[in-house]
Amino acid sequence: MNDELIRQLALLDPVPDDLPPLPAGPIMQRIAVIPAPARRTRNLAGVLRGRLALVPALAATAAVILAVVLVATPSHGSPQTASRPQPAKRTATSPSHRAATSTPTGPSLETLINRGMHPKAPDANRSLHLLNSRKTISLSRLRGRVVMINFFASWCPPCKAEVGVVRKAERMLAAQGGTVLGVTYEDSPRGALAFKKRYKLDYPIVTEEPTGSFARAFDISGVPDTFIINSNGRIEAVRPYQLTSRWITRTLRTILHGSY
Amino acid sequence: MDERARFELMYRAHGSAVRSFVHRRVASGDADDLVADVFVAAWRRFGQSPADELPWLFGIARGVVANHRRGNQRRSALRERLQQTAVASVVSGPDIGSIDPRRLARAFAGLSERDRELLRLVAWDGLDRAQAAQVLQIPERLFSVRLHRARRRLSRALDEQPTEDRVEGFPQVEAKR
Repeated sequence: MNDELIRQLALLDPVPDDLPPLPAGPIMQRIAVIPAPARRTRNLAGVLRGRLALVPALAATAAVILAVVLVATPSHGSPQTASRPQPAKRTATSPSHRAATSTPTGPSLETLINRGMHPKAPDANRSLHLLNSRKTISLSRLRGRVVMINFFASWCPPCKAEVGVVRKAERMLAAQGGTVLGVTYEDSPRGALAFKKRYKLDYPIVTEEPTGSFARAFDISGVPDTFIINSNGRIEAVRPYQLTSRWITRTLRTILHGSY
Repeated sequence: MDERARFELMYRAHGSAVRSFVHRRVASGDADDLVADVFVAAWRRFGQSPADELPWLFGIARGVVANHRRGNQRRSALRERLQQTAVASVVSGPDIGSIDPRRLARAFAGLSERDRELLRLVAWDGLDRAQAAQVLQIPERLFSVRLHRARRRLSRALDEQPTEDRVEGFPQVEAKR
């Protein structure tokens, strides 16, 4: 019955089977102005190097776990003094966090975060130009503070719609020493500046560099897209579409007042 | 072969499938612009493209479509188009078996967006489970579980659909019959 149901559903496909592709010319013209991306190859030597590089880290992790187990195990002579084992506290230095670094050829940041991992924010040392200023900023210089990176564009309706929520996030973060960092996406500095003035945004906004590589490092293919980075420079949460007040409140409360 | 030539080959191989994928999810007036956006986004990430490019392209297309929907709130238009298409298929007359297609269309439209997307990937986009799981970036096993539940909910929704001929909101059906 179920396969029959799928077969019947297939017949309701609103698109004809023979829908031709669009002409390639206009699309190739659009990409002609975008630099060719570097192909990341996966040869055997590279894979082996990557695997071998994990060996010392795994050995160190195993040693730490063994030491913890030995210390925490009660002596046989005094079982009544054994306290109930406590669940491991999640810290930024726990093995699960250390293992969760994204790789260029691995799953996307969003996938890692959805799997409960906390990959390092990419491109942390990249100098990003502040909007309408000669100054630069980088994620590494914001280390120690919770940072909400909000990729946006002045031409994007959901980005405008979520401004109130971003400002609320900025207030919540500022109260705890954190900040919002706006990053423009495929936008002109003039448009971004008009957006900043129109909505009276006080938090730092950086302009995307010409190649858009910072956004690419975060796997951005559209805006708005928001990442929350903890004080250790690891991504705690991602929201790949318009923010809601409820999501921001719940997420920031957990990060700012939780165990991080 | 340079990257642009390789990209053009990929476009020629999958351009039609991606266009169909997008047309199934957004109103046709915007769909072709979005198809171009999908391939621009794909070009930016082309360095990371896997061997099986189609699920990867569909994954990018999902993101582009999701952005578009957030901006324009076209879900209702999509639903309307789906129902119209379902109705049109009845009127134009192919024999599609024992299930009344209008009831099936209504049952499908009443599902959650997540369930609809699972079913679309399999029934309309023609992906196997491994590919569909790749599009959604979830393990294949999890996809199978979710698909099973979505099918069950569709079946239940179908059972709950009334059997009357008239489709609400589509008086033209009555007129044509």
